[in-house]
Amino acid sequence: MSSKIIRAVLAGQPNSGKSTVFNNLTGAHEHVGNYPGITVEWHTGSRKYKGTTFELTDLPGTYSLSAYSDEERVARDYIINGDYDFVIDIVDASNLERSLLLTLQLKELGIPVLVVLNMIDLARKNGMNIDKDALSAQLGMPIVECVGYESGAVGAILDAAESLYDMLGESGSKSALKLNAEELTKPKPTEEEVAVTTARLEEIKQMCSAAVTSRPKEGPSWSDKVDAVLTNVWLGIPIFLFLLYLVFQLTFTLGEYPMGWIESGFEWLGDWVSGFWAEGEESLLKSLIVDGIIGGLGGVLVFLPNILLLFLAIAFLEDSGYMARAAYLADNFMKYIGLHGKSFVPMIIGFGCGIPAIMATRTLSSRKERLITMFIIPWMSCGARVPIYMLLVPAFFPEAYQAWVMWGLYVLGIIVAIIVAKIMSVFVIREENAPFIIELPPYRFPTFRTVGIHTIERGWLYLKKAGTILLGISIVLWALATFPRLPESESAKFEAQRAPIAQKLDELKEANPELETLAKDRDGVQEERDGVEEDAALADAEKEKKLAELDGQLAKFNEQLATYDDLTGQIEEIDNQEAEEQLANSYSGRLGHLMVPVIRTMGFDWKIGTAIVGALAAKEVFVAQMGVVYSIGEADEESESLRDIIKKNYPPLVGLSILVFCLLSAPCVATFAIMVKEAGWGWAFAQFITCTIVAWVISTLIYQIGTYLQIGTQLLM
Amino acid sequence: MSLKEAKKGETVKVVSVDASNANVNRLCSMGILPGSDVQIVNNDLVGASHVNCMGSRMILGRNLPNKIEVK
Repeated sequence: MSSKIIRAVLAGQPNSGKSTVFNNLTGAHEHVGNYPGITVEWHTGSRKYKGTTFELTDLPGTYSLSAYSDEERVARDYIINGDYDFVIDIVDASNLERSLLLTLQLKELGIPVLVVLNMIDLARKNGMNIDKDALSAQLGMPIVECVGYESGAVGAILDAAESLYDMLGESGSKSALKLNAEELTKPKPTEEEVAVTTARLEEIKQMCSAAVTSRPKEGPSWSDKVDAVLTNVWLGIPIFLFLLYLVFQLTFTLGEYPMGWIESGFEWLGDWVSGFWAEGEESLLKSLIVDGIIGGLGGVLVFLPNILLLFLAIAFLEDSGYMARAAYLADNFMKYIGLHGKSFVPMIIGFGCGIPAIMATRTLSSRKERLITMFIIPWMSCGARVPIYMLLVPAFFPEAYQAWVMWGLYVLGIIVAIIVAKIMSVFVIREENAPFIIELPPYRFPTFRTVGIHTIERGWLYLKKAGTILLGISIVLWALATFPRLPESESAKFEAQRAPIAQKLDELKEANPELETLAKDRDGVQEERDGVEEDAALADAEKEKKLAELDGQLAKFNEQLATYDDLTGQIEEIDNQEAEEQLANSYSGRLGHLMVPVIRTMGFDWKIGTAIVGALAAKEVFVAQMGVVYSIGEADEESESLRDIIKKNYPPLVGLSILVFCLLSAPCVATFAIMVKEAGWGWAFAQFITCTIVAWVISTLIYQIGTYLQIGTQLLM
Repeated sequence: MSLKEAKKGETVKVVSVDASNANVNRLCSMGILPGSDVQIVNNDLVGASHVNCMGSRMILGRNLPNKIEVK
């Protein structure tokens, strides 16, 4: 039996459940959203079914084929010029008449169409009774009924597709496509458009009167009642802001636990690998594997829980239908800065990642709104900046203020975006705004499956990026920070300083063999103390009692270990000096030093300079780079965590300055690349330069004013 | 009267749409054109109307409701 290949293209209006059907048919993990126009590019997938290969293409959802917005143009061009056998038109059965407007346009083009009546369950629940065969006869097209997310839909649709294919014959099918297709779908003058649409609606009414019976709906629907509250400006906007706050709380508090597991997992892995090298024989290879690869990978993976939770929340908001309401609410203020309420959706996606966000601006029909939205997306604090916040915010701010600082950063980004957007819409791009017409899909409780698919897919994208680009960058950065090595004479100088102290330490240990065990015991007690201090379940009085007891034990240890501590401290200091010298001498150190005159105004030293160079590659690399910058050359892998080292070296004011700089500065190279693709080199460079200047100005202001007022200029440790 | 002046819950018939070509075409494709019935779901929105047309809920914003003449 020769295997057949059937190529079909999925078309349908926004919210027809097209992407759900596509996912179900292909098993492809493609984005399904409840927001009009969530699919901005076409996606392809294939499926083998009963020995036949189905190659399926999913087009953007469009209300009509007259090309007004980019997504309509994409759909229309594919339908007219694409290489396929027939169209599968996904029709929302519960919204039959309007959905058929698109079906009729396809019919007028003479394209063979298989109609899929999706969400037939909802239509029946609403009291609609569709006589499938009668409607099929009226339309002259085969019809399948289905519920898009059910597994039964796959067989039904593919069986019907195969019989349509057989009926059309091997010769192919699109031959019937009218030669004047371009002419038929080009935008028409107002009167003509109205006349044509009126005629189509008349035709639809006649078909439906023969094939559909429905009982009139009584009263406002559940969705309408909810909307009365959620779209009310006075209630809706506070609820919206509260939901955003909730999203961040969920992301950061719930994410803390798995982060801890991942962190200790990588620590263990680093130690285990280090174990293959005998003490004192630390080679470059060990440094590459432990510091470069394991350290870099750990620094990326540890933030996966945060990113998954954030994506989960966004997916939930999208799939429930809330995003469309948010877009309307947003339009109340977006219009004042020259943007469309719809711009808000890419901006929200920008909190996850700038790349899909910039791609999502394709749903905006006016060039002006689209360009401005793309331009300000880097200031939507993306998921890759979360690692930087998670590293620095807990280091410099007391626990009670951490969520607020985080919230404040997001808000600052939004404020800067608003100001820049306003400036652009008034001075730079002076064109007319697009109309504001937005469909509110009925609220749906998102299915576990679709939300899960979104979350996993986006998390996977992050990991893929992390596993490839970021790992590569981690290694390059490691090399930049490692080479050239310190000259022999310099190393010898440090060795000479270290040797007598090390000898003293060895003698001390020989005389008192119990010292090392004591030091280990002390670490244990310290850990217990930290645990007690963070234990929220403990009553205050009891906590104090326990802490006092443990402090007493610690003091006793400290007394016994005084000489030992003094000697190890001295060695550590020399090690740190050597590491610092080594890094200062390396390529990345030199680059950081070159930047000092410019970044000094923000309170940054060359180490932060080195890390912000790394952050250009991808924001989260800042953390990996800080890790490498401070841990390289350290003999003891377990000395201090990165956060403590940073706390020791910088006052909180510099911490805030770093946070703000990382929030506002130039987007990562991947975002830059997508910007080049979507808007051209000129816009991409303009964005890059604007971001850098804005970040520099604001961070400088913060640092200079803070220094003048003496706020947060003291080291915390 | 304009769509904006219609009362909440009222069903009105569109008489004319005095908007740009792009607006009219978009409205047509969503089923709002002279002759179609539109139910007002909520008209208290600032500068916008929440309407029900052919079973779907839409928000028309930015003065568009003032440009749609209904009876």
